[in-house]
Amino acid sequence: MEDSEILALFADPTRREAAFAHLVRKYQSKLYWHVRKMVVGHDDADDLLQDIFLKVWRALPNFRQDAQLYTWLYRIATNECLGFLTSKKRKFLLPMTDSGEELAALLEADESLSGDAVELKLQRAILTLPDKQRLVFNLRYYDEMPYEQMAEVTGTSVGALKASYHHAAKKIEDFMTRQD
Amino acid sequence: MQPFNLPPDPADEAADRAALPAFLRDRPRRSGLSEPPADYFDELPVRLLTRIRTEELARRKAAVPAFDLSRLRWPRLRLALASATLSAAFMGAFWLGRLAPVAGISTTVADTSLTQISGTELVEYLADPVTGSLSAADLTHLSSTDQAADATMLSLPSADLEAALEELPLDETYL
Repeated sequence: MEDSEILALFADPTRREAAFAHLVRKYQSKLYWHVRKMVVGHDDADDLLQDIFLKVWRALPNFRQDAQLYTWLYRIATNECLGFLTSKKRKFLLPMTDSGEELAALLEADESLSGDAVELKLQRAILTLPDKQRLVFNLRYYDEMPYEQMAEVTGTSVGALKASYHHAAKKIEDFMTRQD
Repeated sequence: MQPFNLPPDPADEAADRAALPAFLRDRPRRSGLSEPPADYFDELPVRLLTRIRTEELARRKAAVPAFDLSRLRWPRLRLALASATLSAAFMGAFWLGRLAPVAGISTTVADTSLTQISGTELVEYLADPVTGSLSAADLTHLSSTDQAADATMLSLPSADLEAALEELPLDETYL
């Protein structure tokens, strides 16, 4: 179902829930992995994803269609992720620039990564990036999002995003070679 | 399905590929994190709708006021009722304010007791040479206070205090 059809269906109060179910089914997987890569653990990702979709439910009546629905959803998810990570650091008095050892511990506990030393090391390298840079790296490397769309999601200029991505790639390379 | 409305820019892709470490260039682009539980994505829409219904029901229950002016159809009546309610609230506050004592100036027990004694009795008591004059006993609390308190409170050198006291006229009646 196209976004415009979902939005038209949502405008009808009697079919609002059906429209929302379509929207969730269409975007849940993409948003889940976007969130999951930021918070690492499934439980946190599940909590956050539910909060994100509840915000979408409340805000969708006011959604202006000058932005693409997908970009708008990503923006909400991104803000929620960054807010979650910031509040977690405040709670545990961690430095505001990194995600700390807690996320690394979640990585170590992930069964899927336990048998793949290179993948685990790569994920650890990505975790050493500051949250916003990690977000940029994820959006560009894993989601292959065009920079113009990333600029809409993050509210950052295309030039700054390109610089951030290239710095991130260099840091990851340094981490991987240093640890060898 | 490619959800992005913009096509990938070949120049950006080439630059990004060059920036990546060699081992990342041709790797499958997946995070390697474990998959969510098997039915997670099948169940999520239902869980969300259940949560939405529960929260909306709770919100509606909490938001229903006893009397809602906005339900009235006629705007003038609505305005009149709102004004009357506000005026009544002000008048009530004013009326109650007059009745109740102002905070911090409450009537003391001593004041209440004095009102029960007639003026004549009070005058007679004060005019009596025995009861109406101060005795040494009435001044005992003065001698028990800290005599150096003023000097401490003023925090002036003792020489300055003595100089200031020297300048004051000495009246024998105070001795």
